[in-house]
Amino acid sequence: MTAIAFPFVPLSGEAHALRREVRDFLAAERAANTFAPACDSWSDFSESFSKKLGARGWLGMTWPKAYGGHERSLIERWVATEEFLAAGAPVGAHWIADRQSGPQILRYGSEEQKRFFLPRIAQGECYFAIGMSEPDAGSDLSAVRARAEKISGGWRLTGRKVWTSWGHLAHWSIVFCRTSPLAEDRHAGFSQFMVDLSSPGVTIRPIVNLEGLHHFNEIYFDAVFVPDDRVLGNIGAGWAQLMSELAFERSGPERFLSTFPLLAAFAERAETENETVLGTLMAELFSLRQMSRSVAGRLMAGETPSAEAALVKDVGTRFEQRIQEAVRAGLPVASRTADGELQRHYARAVLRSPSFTLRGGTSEILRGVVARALGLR
Amino acid sequence: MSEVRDILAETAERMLGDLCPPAVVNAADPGGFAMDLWRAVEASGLHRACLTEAAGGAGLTLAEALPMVRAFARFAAPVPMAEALLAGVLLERAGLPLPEGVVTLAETPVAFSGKAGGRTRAPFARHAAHVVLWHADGAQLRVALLNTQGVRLTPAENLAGEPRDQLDLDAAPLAAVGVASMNAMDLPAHGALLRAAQLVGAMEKTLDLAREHVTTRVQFGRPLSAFQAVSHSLVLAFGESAAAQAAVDAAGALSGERPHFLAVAAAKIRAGKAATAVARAAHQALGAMGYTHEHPLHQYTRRIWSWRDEFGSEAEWAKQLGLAARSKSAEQLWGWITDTEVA
Repeated sequence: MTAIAFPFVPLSGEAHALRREVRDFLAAERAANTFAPACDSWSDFSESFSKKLGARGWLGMTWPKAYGGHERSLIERWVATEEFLAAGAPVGAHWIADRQSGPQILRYGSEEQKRFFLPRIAQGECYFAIGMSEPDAGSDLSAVRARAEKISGGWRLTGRKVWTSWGHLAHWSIVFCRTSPLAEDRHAGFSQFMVDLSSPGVTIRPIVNLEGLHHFNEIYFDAVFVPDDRVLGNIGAGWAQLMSELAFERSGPERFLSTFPLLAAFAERAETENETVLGTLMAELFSLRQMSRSVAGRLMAGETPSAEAALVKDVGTRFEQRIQEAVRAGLPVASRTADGELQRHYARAVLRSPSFTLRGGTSEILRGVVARALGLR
Repeated sequence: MSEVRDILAETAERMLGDLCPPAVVNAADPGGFAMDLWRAVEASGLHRACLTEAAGGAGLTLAEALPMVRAFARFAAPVPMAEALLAGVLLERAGLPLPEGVVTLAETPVAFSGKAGGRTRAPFARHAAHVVLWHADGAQLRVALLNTQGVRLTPAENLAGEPRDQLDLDAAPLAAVGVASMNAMDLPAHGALLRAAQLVGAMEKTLDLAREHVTTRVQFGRPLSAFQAVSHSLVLAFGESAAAQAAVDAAGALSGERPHFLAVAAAKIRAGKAATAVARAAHQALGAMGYTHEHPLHQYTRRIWSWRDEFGSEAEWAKQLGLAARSKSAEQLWGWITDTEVA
């Protein structure tokens, strides 16, 4: 049983200078029309934009310079991320690689793997897809059936992964699978492999979402050969590795800023009678920013604040979802058809909001994580 | 200074553990005051923490006193700790001496010079020797020291049974009058931040009681916490409480001598909203037992229901915050949110 705590993390002058630098860059990009601000922009894939960020040193920010990183703090990365999302910039191409695959490789990868992957990710040239969920293993990842068998020089991977965001455009996937049969300990016998998605035996099919968009995929692995040097970490240690990967997934600014462009559009158009609602949303946003930064600070100190990270996501994603209702209650219906910008932000917020409380761990799973930490189950 | 802050909070915690058990809280309900506890506060000088060292204080800012105030709230201490701290700062900033005995504070509706006028309500006034009156005259903050001996006082309480006595100020003679070197706008913000910290303290204890209950109370052969509906409801409440704690700590850290407007408004709004949810969830979890006077829960939830409205309700602060946020472009809005938070 632990106490939940979100100690305040101050922002340094350097972090603030970085914020200005990122903001100026984004303003120039907008002026040059390289992107239009959008809600949920961390799902927008733009190779050219990712390469620009890589060239500026804003990918792999916290990694060692020896691997193409920039040795910035997690708090500085947090600040840059806030700026990208608040501006609604298209940061989806590199998102998974930069947020979780790279840190996983840095933590568990071999020297060769670090030298091969990390500089490419930091340049915005190498994109990763998540390889966790399966048709019969959604929230319950211990039910994963994909398996790899040892063969000469490597492993033969067979299985099927689903809900793979940008799997059809990514270069690699870290695939979580069984390497030994189900035993008494459901969490034993898993491993992670880095799979080249252009390998023979890999078939990628679109899963069209409710917006009619091809964003996620199902990926079939039919006896795909994975060389020994593309095992991530240790065979059999997959579950523990996966849990640490999830810690990076849950507490970032993408868990409360996905609909910031809509919130800003609402503020810009708000009348006197909207002030109370707007002020309440501002208070919630203030609080979430502190919570998220606090978790970044604790991760930076080497702690694993799993319950706090889960709370950021649970509280944050419900906040993201509520903004559209403030718009509905506060602005005339007609304004959502007559006003192009508002219409665009509103439509995206509504159509994507079901995913907010699902991706990266459903709210129900998160509450279970917190309940366990609090001794409530 | 953060070291002094932590030492004072620990001192307070020990003192409260000794002198503020549930029996003391209950004995003061309604309208009472924990005299022994207050004597210990005065002996230790905790109530002077925010005075300068020259004035016999510890030189803390009001923001730095938040952990101590939160500890008093965690014990539902029936003493005007927040009010005494704020009153002391006001007097010192106005160059007036801090008198002996219990001091509280109240806003007056009408300006005063030698005499006051109108009516006001003051926390714990019936137990206080003096009330520090304040009145905002534009940005100027007028301060006066009122001896409670010469005032007509009508006892009244808030929902928690804490004294919120009505003072009839017409022609009440003032012991001393001055102008505080503090922007008048800052005073309600200081008060709001103190109350927000108290709300966080009350939430902490409320959730401790709820957690204790659901992990030990057995129904249908299982502890209540084994029912997912029960545990998830409390997890949501813990999330609310944590969101409030994060906002209040940040508001304290970002405020220096002057309160940080955005942060303080956010903290009071978030704490009020969270505390409302926490109180509801805790009562639901504790069932009929938590609805009795015997159970300590109501000493916290009734304070929550009172404090969320004092020094500005969520709606009042949200209106101000919304006014400040409104009509900004997206870039301006984001700049306003982020640009002033370098601690």
